[in-house]
Amino acid sequence: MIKKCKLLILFLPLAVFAAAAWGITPHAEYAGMGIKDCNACHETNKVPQNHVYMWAEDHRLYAEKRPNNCKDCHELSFCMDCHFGGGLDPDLHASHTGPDYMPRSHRSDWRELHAIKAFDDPRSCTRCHDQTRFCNACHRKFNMRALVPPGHGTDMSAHPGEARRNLLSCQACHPSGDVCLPCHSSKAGAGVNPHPKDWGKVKGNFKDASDKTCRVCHSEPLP
Amino acid sequence: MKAFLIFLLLAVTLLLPGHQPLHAETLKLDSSTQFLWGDDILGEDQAVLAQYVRFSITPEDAKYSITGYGRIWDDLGSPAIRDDDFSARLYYLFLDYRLSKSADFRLGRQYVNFTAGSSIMDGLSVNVRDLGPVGLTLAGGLDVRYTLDSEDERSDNAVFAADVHLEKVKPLQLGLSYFRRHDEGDLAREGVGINARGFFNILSPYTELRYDIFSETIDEATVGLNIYPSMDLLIRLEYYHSYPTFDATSIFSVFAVDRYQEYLALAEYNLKAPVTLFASYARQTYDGADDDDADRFEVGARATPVENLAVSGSLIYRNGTGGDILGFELLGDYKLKKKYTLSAGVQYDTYERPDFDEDDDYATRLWLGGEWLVSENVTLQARIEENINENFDSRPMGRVLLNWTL
Repeated sequence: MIKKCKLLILFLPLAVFAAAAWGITPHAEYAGMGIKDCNACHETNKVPQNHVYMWAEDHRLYAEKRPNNCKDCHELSFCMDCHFGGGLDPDLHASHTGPDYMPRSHRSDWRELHAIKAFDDPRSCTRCHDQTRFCNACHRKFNMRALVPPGHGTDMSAHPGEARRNLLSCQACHPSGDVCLPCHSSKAGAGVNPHPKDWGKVKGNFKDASDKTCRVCHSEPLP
Repeated sequence: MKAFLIFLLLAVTLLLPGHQPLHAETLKLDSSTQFLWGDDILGEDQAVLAQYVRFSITPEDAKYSITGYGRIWDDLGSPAIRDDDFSARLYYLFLDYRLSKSADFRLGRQYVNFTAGSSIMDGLSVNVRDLGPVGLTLAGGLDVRYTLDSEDERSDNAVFAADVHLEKVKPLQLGLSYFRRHDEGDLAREGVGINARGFFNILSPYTELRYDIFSETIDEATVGLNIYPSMDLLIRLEYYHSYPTFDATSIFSVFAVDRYQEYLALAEYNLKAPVTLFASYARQTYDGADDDDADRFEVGARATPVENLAVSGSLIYRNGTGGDILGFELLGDYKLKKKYTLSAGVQYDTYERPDFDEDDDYATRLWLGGEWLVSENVTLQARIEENINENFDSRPMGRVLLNWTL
């Protein structure tokens, strides 16, 4: 039943949005205009404005449309520069670190603030940064003791909640998860089960994909 | 690095004097030579020399075009975080070929982006249009990952994606995609995604859903409604949730995680001046204990008081799980005689991280930049920045760029 509900949620948009003919208006000839002029034209033609204030957060869905108008005004490098640190013709507003440019979301002292902003949707970091390589490449250059939050490593009572809330932050310093194994492996140690409640239902999917991960903690092949 | 050398070889070959000259309208070349300096976040000096090249060749009446973009750089300083070796990054280098009016393919390094997943890959993507009301995109190749200083490509890291989408259907955006990624031969990710947006008079509902096949969960969902009571006013109501997910080849993929949820309301109003006002509020929650939530507010304004001047300001406030931030930003851009642009900005934040036992900290960033259109094809850009914060009494940074276009 739950599976059926999920499928219904997935395909609901198909049913809700059945509609009539659409043609994309080419915008290449307007590529040199300022956003102000774009908006004036949209307003005159009763077309909702895009590139609004929150465009950085907003553009993803527009970019996933196929075909879309993005390439009429932007080279592919425009996307790559913002997502992957390049800067052929960087925005004067953008700060940089080493050879890489940072988007404007990376405000003031990003070294200190990123730990807070990562809580505004943990996924927002991994849209641009490789979660296994990027965070650790920087963190391992620091004195790890300086990065350890108070109580971390001594009073472990808070760690289950912290880990469930933002497991990506654990991976930032422990990319292989080796520190988890002394307690969570079934081969040795405390054997504390780290799996989610519905693990029995989904574990076969993971095993079929790659049983190497299972074998890290389990000696015997899983049923 | 190997891929970048191929890119460089191709670019140089095309520009060699002995090469059959390309018409100016078939070759587009952009170059940027940059010097960037300033201490890194551990206080060690960086002095980066970087060269970007972007080109495209589109012969007249030909069915193909070649496009490339990459950079090389070397740090002449002694950075603590980054390597100081000569490095290169190839962003893309591909051949576009039009098979027919309704089909084309792209071969080479490229960025593919689908709701179900995205990748930089060395491979092939095929677009087929006009299959009735739908179009089809297929993509597959070797997955490329950028590391902090280099890039990583392995012969057994592969991606495959397919996307079916409605075309020529108004007023509707609708796409269904499938994505899978292999990590050293093992299946690491497999998911399905849907994106949809409709425009119905003053209402524009939208959604973006990702379903993770391994965990049998909608691991990311956005459902929202844009309301346009007038052409000057946008009101948005949005619900978002996500689970942290990991490659199945990572030990973290088997751990229990909490769902993150966000309820967002925002409004943007364009006054006639023209002044744009903006306000948003987001309620953030994590499943689990009662106090795992946060509130985030942002208000801002953008104005163009005179033809060549644009100013904007914003105030953010975040309070709750993960820490508190209260900060503002002021920005200004002034265009002088169409040849010169002057920009300046200030950011100031006070913040408190729960993992530190200290009182509130603060951070200030001040910057000033300018651009000079030297000629039709040449621009010069410079920017300086000062950072004052908990870790640095003063951390100046700067850059100078020379850009030219062929």
